[in-house]
Amino acid sequence: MYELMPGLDKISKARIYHSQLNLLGEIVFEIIMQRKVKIGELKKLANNLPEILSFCELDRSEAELVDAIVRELMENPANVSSIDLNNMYEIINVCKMELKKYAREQTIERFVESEKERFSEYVDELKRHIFKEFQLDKERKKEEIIKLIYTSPGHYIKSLYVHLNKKYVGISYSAVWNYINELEREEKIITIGGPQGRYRYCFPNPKMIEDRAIYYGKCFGINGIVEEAILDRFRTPELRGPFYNIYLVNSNIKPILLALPYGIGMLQLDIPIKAYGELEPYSYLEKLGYLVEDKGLRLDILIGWKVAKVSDGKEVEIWLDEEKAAIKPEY
Amino acid sequence: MGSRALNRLENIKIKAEELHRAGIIKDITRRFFIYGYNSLSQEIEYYVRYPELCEDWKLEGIISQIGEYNHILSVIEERMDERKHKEFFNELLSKLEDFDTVDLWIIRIPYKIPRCRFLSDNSGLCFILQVPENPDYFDNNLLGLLAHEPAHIHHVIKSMVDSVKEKNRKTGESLADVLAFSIVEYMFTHSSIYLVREVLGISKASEPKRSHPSWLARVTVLRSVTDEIWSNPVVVRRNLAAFDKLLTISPTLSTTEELLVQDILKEARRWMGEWIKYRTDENLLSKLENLSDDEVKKIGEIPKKIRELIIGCTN
Repeated sequence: MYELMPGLDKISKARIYHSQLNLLGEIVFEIIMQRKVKIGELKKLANNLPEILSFCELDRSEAELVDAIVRELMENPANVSSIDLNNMYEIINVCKMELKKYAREQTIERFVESEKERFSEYVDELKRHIFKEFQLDKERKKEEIIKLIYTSPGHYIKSLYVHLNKKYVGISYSAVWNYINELEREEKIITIGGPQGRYRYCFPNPKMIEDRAIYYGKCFGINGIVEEAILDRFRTPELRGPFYNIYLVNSNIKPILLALPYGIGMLQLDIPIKAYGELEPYSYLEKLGYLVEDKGLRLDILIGWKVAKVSDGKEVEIWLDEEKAAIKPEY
Repeated sequence: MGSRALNRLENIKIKAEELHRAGIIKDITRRFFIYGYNSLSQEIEYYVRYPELCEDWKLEGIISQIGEYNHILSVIEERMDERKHKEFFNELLSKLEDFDTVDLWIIRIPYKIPRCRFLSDNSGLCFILQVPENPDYFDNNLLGLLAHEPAHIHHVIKSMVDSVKEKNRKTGESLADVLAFSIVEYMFTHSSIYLVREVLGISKASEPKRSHPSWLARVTVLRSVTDEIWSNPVVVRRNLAAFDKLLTISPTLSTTEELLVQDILKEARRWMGEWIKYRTDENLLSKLENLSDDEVKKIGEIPKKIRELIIGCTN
C-alpha cells in the first residue's frame, strides 16, 4: 500500500499517488476529528511523501510545511495546531485534484478500440478481477459510509449508494439505507430531509466535531434547540447585507449561530430543529457588518438553507432555500 | 487471465513483439508499447493487492489506455495507417529535435481532436500522431493542430506539457500552438508562389519535381525548422521577441505571459486566415495584380507579398 513502484508511466503514477495521498488525507482527517494519530501508517507514508510531493510539483514552502507537520505528528502530535492540520489537509486535497485532472486529461475518455458499449463491460470485468477476494464486512461498510459523510457532508442515500458502488462491488441500496438508520441511531450522523421522495441528506453529528474549522465554507448540518434570537445583541453600523435574523442554538452543548433571511419571520424559540446550510466562522459575520461585543457569542455561524422543526420524530419544514438546499454531492 | 479486459492488456505485449519481429515497427516503438503494458500491469496488480485504493475513474483510465494501445496496434498490423504527409511530418520531427531514428505512425482515431503519444531516447523517437478519422488537411486550423502535435517533442514544450500543474500544461500547449502556427505560417509564406501559380493557372509543366516551389518551401522549412522560421524577417518581427522572452522565463510563466502567448496565437491565426483567403479567391488575386502604386502602399503586408509573387511569376 505504501511502496513506490519503479517503471510506471506518469499517468499510472498520478493515479497511484492519488491513492496514497487519499490515505494520507484520511489519516490527517482522523487526527483533525479525534486527535488519534496512526503513527505506524503515517511513518510508512512519510517515506514516500517527498517523491509524491515532488511529482505533484508542490511549491517548496508548501512541501516543507507538509513534511514538517508529518514529522511533528510522529514525534509530538500534541504540538501540531489545528490550523496547520487544516492547511495540510487542504494542500493534500489540492494535490489530489491536480493528479486526478492530469490523469484524466492524459487519457482519451472512455476509449475502446471497437463498440463503445463494451467499455462499461470491460470496466466491470476489471473491477471484479480486482475485488474478487475482497469483501467488506458490515462494520467496514459502515466505516466507509461515515468516512464519506464526514469528509463530504451533504450526501443523500442514493449518492452514497452510487459512490460506494463506484468503489466497491455489490453493496445494495437497501443495505446503505439500513446502515444510515443504524448510524443515526448510534448518534454518529444526523439526517435531514426525506421521506416521500425527498432527499435524505446525511451530515456528521455536530456533537462529534471538536473543531469545525475544516468545514468552513462547506455544507454542514445541525440539530438542537433554538434558544434565543440575538440579532439585537449585534451592532450593525455599516451593514452591507444580506440581512439576517440570527439565533443561538444549543448554548449548553456545542453552541452555534444560525442565520436565516430577515424577511421570513421569526423562529419559534425552545423547539427542537434540524438545519443545514453553509458553515462560516464568526469573522464572516464581521465582514458583512454584524458586530457583537459579547465574546461568548463570537461563534461559528450556519447560513441556513433549510430549517425544519422536529415534532414526534417527524420534520416539519420551516424554511427552505430551494436553490441552495438541493445539494449535489460529487459522486 | 480470465477477463477480456486483461486479455486486451496482454495483447498489447504480444502484438508489439510480433510487429517488431516482423520488422514493421522499430525497437523504440516496441519499447513504447512494452513500457505502457508494464506500467498498466503493475498498476492493476497494485489495486489487486489494495482494492480499497481503487476507484472507478482509475479503472476507466486503465481501460481507455488499453483500448488506445490496441487500436494503434491493430491499425499498424492491418496497414491502415495514414500515409498522406508522412514524409512531411517525419522531417518535421527530425528537425525539431535531433534523432537518428524516427518511427512515425499516423493513426486515425474516432476522436475529434488530434493528439500524440511518443517515447524517445538518445537516438530514437517513436511518435504516434493521432488524427481524426476524416481529416481535411487543407483546413487551416487542422493543419495548425497537426503541426502542433510534433511541436510537443520540442524539449521546452515537452517539459511543460509533462507537468502535473495545470497552469504549466496550458502554457506548454500554448507554446506548442505558437511554434506550430509559426511553422504553418512560414510554409504558406514560402509556398505562396506555388499557390499563385496553381490558382492563376500558370504552367508548372517544365519544372522538375525537386524544384517544385511547394516542395522547395517544405524542404526550406524542414532543413532547420526553428532556426529557419526565426530567420524569416516577417515571422521574426512578429514572434521572436515574445517567443524568446517566453523561453527565457519558462518554466516560471505568470498569467501575463500566458496572455501574451494567447495574443501571439490570435495574431498567427488571423494572418493564416488571410493567406487562406487569398489562396482560394481568384478575383482577389487578379485585383492585386492590377493595383496602382498608390493603392499598393495602402494594402497590408501579406497582400503586398502576394502581389510581388504574382508579378514575379507573370513577368
